Amino acid sequence: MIDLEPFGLTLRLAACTTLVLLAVSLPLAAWLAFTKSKLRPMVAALVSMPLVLPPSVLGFYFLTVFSPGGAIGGFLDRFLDIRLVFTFSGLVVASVLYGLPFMVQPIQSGLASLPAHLSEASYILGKGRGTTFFKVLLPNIRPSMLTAVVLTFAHVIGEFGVVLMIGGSIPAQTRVASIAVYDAVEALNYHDADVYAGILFAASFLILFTLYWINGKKTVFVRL
Amino acid sequence: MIRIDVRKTVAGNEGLMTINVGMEVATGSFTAIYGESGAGKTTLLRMLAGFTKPESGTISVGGATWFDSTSNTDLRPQLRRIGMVFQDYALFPNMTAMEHLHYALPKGARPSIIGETLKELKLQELAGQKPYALSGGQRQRLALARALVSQPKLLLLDEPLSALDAEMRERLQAYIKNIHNTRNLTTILVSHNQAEISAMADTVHMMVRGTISGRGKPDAVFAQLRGNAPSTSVAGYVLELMQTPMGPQIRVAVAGAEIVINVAEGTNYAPGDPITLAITSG
Repeated sequence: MIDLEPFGLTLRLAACTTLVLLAVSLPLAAWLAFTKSKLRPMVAALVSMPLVLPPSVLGFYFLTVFSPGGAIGGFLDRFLDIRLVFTFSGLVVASVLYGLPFMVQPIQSGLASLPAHLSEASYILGKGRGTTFFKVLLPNIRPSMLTAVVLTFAHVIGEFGVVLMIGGSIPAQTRVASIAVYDAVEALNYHDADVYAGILFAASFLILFTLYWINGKKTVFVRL
Repeated sequence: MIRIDVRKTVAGNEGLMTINVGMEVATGSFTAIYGESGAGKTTLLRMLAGFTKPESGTISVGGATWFDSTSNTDLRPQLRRIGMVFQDYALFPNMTAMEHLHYALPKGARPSIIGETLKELKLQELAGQKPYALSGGQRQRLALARALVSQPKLLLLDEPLSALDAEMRERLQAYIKNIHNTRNLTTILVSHNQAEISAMADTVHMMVRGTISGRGKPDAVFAQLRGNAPSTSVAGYVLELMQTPMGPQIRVAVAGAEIVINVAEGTNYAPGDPITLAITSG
């Protein structure tokens, strides 16, 4: 009997990570899209690091910093009774860091492609930055928002390296679908590996196909 | 009274250009700023709106200081109570015409102004339409309606009719002029179209390479401008130099006719001298 729990855990991890990333990425993407600060290239590079960095590097630093013997991990463990290494919460934090560019970059490019006149027209009507952002700017970059959310979600489903480094393979805790494939292959259980891999393949394809299908139907922002 | 005295160096079509403008606009007037593309008109309008910060100077409106470089005063655009129609209209693609007007309605304002404005600009039938479904003229009217619902004291128009055909332009000129009068607005129009300015504005300020080079009634300013720019010239020759009670004159043969022209004291024309006359359309 195939254990479907890893898929439930994978979906929960992808959903939590996507929600947290959405909240974190909106202000960050807006700042990157509009700021004239000299710090911009540095922040942009840091956000993009997960695209080029091996997951093992991020996982190693995560272990160093968040293990109970590490600087932040020790503080969290002693004073707040929070452990991030080998826990689901830890997986979410790591996935948020690792998925940052997938959420930030589409939103940032969407915002940067809007004409400056849109915000100015809103400001001149007396509206503040917050109202302008949520009522004028975000609704006009829906395809970019959809791309960001779906790519992030799909990326978390496919994560392996970071999860293995900091989560291990604890059933119902950190044993997500990609780890389950790995475990099955290690145990020479090719039947289970085949089923897990097939489901992951089909789910990932379906998610991406839906994204491109919906975005293909929608018109991207048209300059009036 | 609006008093503008600002300076800013900007990158223009022909390298760096310094905008150095001192001008006054009377409350309730319809004032135009005329100039070729790249003269700095739109930058000046953006400084007034608060989108572009002058390097130095002051902007005061009705006694209130909006910008003062010495005291570091720079009132946010949100607080300037300006209505603005952008050259590309800057309509919100996600909103219907009605949603635009609800968005523009200031807190505490009576909502009935939305219906009145829709009616005034003949947009009732289009209230549920989004900008992409509107024609150029309808978009322009919606942009104007949005600016008016925000109940501004000062209306800024940045080449608002440049994208429209001649017939639509004339119709909207009448709309805008009428709204300016009925709503007691102070309106500043930026345009490079002389006919448009003559049809709407009381006063025009002429802007050349960042500075105001002349001002006055539109017809007078444009006639003078045309006088400085000959549209064609014809060759002829001097028949005779005459000393008259009105000063020296020359009789000239040109294009098969003879004409008499006043000339400056001390000029030395002899019969048979070749001469070229500039003929202007003004």
